[in-house]
Amino acid sequence: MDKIFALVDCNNFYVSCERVFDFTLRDRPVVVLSNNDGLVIARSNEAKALGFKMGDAVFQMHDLIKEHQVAVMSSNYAFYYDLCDRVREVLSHFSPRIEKYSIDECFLDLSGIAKEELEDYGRRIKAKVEKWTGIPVSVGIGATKCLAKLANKLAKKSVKARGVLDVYKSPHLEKALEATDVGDLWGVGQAYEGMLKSNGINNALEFRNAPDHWVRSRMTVVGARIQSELKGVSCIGLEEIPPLQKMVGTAQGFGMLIDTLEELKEAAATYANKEAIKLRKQKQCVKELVVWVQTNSFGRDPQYGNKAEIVFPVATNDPSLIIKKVVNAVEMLYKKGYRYKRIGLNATKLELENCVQEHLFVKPEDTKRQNLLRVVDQLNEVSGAGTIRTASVVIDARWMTRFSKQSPHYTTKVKDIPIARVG
Amino acid sequence: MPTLFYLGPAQDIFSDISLPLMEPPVPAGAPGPPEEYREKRIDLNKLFNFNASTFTWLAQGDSMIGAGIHTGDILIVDKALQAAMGDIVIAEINRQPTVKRLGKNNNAPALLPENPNHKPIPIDEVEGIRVWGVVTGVFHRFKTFK
Repeated sequence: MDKIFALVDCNNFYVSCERVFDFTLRDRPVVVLSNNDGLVIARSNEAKALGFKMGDAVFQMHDLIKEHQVAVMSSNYAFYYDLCDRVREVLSHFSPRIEKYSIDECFLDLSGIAKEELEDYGRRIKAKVEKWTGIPVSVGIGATKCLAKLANKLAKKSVKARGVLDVYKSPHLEKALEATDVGDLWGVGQAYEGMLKSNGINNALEFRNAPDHWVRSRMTVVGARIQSELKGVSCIGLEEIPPLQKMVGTAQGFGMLIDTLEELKEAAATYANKEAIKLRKQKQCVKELVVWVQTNSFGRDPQYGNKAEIVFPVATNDPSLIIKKVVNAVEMLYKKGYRYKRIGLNATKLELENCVQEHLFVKPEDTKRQNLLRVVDQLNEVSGAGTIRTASVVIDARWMTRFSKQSPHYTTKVKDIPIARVG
Repeated sequence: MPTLFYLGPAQDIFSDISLPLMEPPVPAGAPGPPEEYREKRIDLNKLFNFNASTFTWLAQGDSMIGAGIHTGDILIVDKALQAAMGDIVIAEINRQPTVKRLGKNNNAPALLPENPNHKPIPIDEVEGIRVWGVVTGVFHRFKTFK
């Protein structure tokens, strides 16, 4: 049976989430900011039209924001995740096989649906997701993931498509390929884009028709795969089970610059704890960990950055063990006279919790300790993160990440349930 | 004396709760009731059909007292339902959410309060009205519990 894929992509997802409960944001330029309210990471169509770009530093946009009364929001990930789950739940009504590709994109396997019904099916997906969750989506359908992605992009751009485009065995496929810039193709990065354009390959059609051996020799198997996908030969399958995370990282900018060792240690302990919680959730243990600190690269202060590597004799996800090592590392990294903006933890080597390699000279972790940690996990799950924690971990500090213009956690916190007037 | 061993389900390595492989011995002749009679406890989420399209709103005000909606109540709202005449809905007025019953006043469509101290709000027949979702239930507390 021929394969058929759909890519469902939420339009301006974070902005669309904000608009679900706040009706005053409709038809208005809206931008959502990254951690610490630094950079623009989502824009409404109105904000795009005003010239806001992804990654714009918000402090440089003050005039534009004032002039056009742009609504500026901090990111509210707890809320976005809930709406993301709701969107996925609705999508699961349409296909038993779904790949959760990113927070705002899902691939669906639509194999078996008759060619002439595909567009209508796409429209039903779009209508149902929007009605059930309030999130507008675009749907692209094609014989491969690459084509579904391309169709999705065009569905967003074209007024005629009204948010759904099916290029599966379509007489318009060549037109669609021609209308797609080669740099917009899935998997073609900036370097390849430059190389292709300098060789006269500007759109997806020209890329598809380029000699196979030339593509393979210039872009390795990666390029060959994209080319086959454009020809309708599916090479990239659906990944229903997300691949095991090879790296677990927490990089956090502070809400203010930190200059004392005391506060830097506090921050290190707090983020190390977060890292441990992440690992425990994924049932993984860390064997090697890189810790780094950095000053503010935007400022005029003297600059310093350094990193330290930690190797655990036996891979672990015990919060207190990880915290202890990370705090020790930060003590070594700290240099007086600098103001720190950022700390990062990258677990570079991980092992699965239930197949950790033991060490000849280290006593295996005792089960009592493991049971205790499990109880702590459960308490924190039920009663909220941080209910039980190591003493060095703080919940509220002046250096913590700022979300000063964050909307309420409408759907995940009882105290934040939106108010409807009955008057 | 012969004893009977209950062999529970084999331990699932992915499960968070590990079940014992062997229950304590139970004297023969007094077997417990068969497990197959177990049923799941009533689940409030299921009772309210709480799924991807179900949201909660907090009621504030007294205009719907006749319908049993009091200030501080939590409304269960389904976004998936198509609003029909007679439904209690979350509707948008001046870009603010409001709770009213969808109905008619003097034969013209209106948002109706259920409290004589409040007036119906006429719905412009051309402009219509934006309905956010249909109220399917209300969670009212008589006592707080810890």
